[in-house]
Amino acid sequence: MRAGTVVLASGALERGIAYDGNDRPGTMLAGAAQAYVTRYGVKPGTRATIFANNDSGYEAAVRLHEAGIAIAAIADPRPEAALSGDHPQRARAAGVTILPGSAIVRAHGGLRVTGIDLASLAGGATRRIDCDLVCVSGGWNPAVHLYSQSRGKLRYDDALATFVPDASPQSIVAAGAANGKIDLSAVLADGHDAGLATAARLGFAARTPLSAPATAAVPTGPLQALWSVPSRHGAKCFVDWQNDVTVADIALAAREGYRSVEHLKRYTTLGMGTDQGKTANIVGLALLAAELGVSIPRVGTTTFRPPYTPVTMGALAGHEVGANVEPTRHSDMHDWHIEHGARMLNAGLWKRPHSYPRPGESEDEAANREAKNVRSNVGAVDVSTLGKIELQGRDVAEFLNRVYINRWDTLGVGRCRYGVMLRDDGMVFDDGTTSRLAESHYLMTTTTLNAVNVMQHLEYLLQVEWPELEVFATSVTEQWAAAALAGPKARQVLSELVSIDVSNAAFPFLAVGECELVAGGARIPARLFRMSYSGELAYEIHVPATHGRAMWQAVLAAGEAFGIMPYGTEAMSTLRIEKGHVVVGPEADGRTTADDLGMGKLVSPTKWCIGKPLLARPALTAPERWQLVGLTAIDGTIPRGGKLVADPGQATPIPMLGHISSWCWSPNVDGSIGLALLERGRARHGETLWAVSPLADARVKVRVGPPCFIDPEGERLRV
Amino acid sequence: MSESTDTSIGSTAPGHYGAAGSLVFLSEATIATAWNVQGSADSSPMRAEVQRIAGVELPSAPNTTSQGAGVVALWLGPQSWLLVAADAAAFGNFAGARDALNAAGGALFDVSASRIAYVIEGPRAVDVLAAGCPLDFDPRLFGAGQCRQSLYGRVPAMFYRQATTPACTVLVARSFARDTWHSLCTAAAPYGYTVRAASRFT
Repeated sequence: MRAGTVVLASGALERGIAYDGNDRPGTMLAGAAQAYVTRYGVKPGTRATIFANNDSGYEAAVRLHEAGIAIAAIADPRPEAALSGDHPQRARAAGVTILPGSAIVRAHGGLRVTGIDLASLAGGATRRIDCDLVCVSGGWNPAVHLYSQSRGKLRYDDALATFVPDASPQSIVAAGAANGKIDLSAVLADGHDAGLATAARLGFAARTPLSAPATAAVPTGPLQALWSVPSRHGAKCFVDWQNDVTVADIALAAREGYRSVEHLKRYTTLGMGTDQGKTANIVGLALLAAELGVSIPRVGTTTFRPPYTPVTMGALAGHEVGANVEPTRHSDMHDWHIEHGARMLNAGLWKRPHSYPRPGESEDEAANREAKNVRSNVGAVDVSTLGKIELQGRDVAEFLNRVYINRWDTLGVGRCRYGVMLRDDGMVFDDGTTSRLAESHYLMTTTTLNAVNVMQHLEYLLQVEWPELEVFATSVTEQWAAAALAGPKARQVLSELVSIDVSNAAFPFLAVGECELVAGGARIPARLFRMSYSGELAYEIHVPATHGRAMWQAVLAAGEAFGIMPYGTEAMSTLRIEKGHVVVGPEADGRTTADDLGMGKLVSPTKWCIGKPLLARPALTAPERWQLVGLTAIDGTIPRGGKLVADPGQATPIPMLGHISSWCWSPNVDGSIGLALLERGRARHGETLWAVSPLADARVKVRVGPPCFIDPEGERLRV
Repeated sequence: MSESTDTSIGSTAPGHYGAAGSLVFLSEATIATAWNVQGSADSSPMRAEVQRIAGVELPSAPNTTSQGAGVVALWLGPQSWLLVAADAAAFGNFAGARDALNAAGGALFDVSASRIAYVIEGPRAVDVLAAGCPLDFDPRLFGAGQCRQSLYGRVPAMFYRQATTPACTVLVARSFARDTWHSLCTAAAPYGYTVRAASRFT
């Protein structure tokens, strides 16, 4: 909600007076005692002494008296002449003892107040009065917290001895007690006027005269500021009951040189905590002013901090609980996956199929079956979640040359290429493919998890670094539903589906083209890409997302005769580990360069790109850097998150040679394999090391080799 | 949008849901074609091409829209607009239009399937919108022909007001649409709401 004007009618808070023993149970503000009696019907004591420097304490006295509480006396520092207001006169008429010019100098009692000593403000003998309730009123402070938090300025009002709203840079109006009106009739009138004036200013004229509650003004005597009564015994006189700050603490702070009210607060804790000084602050800063010999306005107030009052976590959380904590993203094939028994997992905000377990099959067994089927027959995986960014403009090739390590000005229309992006510091940022769809129209894919980051990166570069480049970018992740079709029989499946020749000659590895896909009699416009993540003969099919499910079902129907199976992210991960394809996160973990990951030769020597200058740092070319290797378990299973050591029997600390970044059971190798980042890794092929995990209490002997377990020559994807 | 025990909340089937009465009406507005135009707002060749292709003038003022025959152009940014049409054939062939925009120094992207649009109508429409979005939906401040980009819940959303009624159209990315629909229904349930059959985006 955006308000044109805010009217703050936040009321006023009563303040106390510091005196010896004012922390004894049975001591409370006069307004609190009055509320017990009039609002809750509770007697807070049987015999009360009232200590007030203003007329509101008398109103409380009368109410308590009417409720059957004996009023022992009203101690008032003011002279008799100041007690002409209505409430003092009513108290007097009720027979209450009033002692002008006096103050409480000490309270007696331990677990409960038992009595007080009264004395003249001028000094002299004390007089003991027995009571079990002391009601104190030192005046009222407008609740200016919200006003002040919205940058409203305050002004010191001598008559009220407190700060009241003065001027706000925003359209904020304080009304009633919050505006320094203490008498009820003035409060009602001020609120009524503020409401009408605000409505009129915002263009809402009151059509008929509004009736509002009103009451006659109560004649009131002036308040006489009184902040504390010195103890005659050097005892504690509390200013801030929540933080146990005494008059002596404030005097000490001033002597120590904490002259600013903000320093006073930090030195003494005055006004901290949940109470935020509601009762204590004005008294505390008035005492500081007295210690410093300056006026109260010169001392000023501390910053009023939100929240005004403790706020529940539920109010802060609002609707964002349970399923609403984070939104969920669904691909257009989501429902199909659910209907076909997929076990879903979270990939960022996306839900993706982990695997499609058949009855009686575990998730791991399902993933192994799916991964094996891709290498022997053909499989299909939903890759709609991949980040997709389209680029157009005269300078796209130059732009790609600058953001990728490899060259792009040589990419022809109808072709795609794998690319790696670096951060400024030379570490691998993201990888993916970019296809040239038309003369100046390109499609970039990013990893699922980095889609937003890459888009932000590109937009930043185009808007801030190179505004002279004519390149326009837009995210089309949501536009295209995508499936990868992978396996030796992928072409046979595809040729049943599409309108174009997909023979190796007509549509070779890394070809890109547009076609129509026949799905249940309908013809769906599609983009076809011959690229492979699994290392098999593979294609990616992109269709407008509205056709995603139809395309997916058509692919699976066409593949049925060839033994097609849908596969999930687990099988996809197994297939890529078998091929040693790196992933952002496990391998490209923000600490690895392209060379560490075995892609050093991709860095074009003939052009500049982001991150390239810093690749020449000595530390990034040191021979002892950790490099990507493949691991094969000699016996046992490579432990999750394991480390590589030469000899686990060595005395600790055992030097760590590297860590395992990815691991799986490979149904195609028929063994436990993994990828690792290993010190001088490429020079260690053939060595035997130990994969250890103290957490899993595992030690497994592994053989180091190249990070590729299937078809190292890459023949299968080119057939 | 706290969790409701009423499992019918979130259904897309036309009908009445939630509390008795019906102070909110929800429906999908189907988008057949949505093209993202990019280029310099000062480029008259590009503007002329857009006018020729889509029959609409690109709005220059932030957060405004302009109408053509069966097409709306929404301002997305200083050099980005969304042309939306309910008719699949509204703009003709994409590749030809893209090439023409490229030649004029601009760009054209087909994002027809990227967004889902929902229409929120009825006397408490503003309350449903306010439940998920910090924007001020008071019609005096967010009037006819204006659009705004913000969030609904935690989902990036674009809001568009065709007329000075409490009705408002919200566009969200396709993958988030299911979540947003559920959020809208949950916010509308206390007022009672009616799901209407999908209509064409206007």
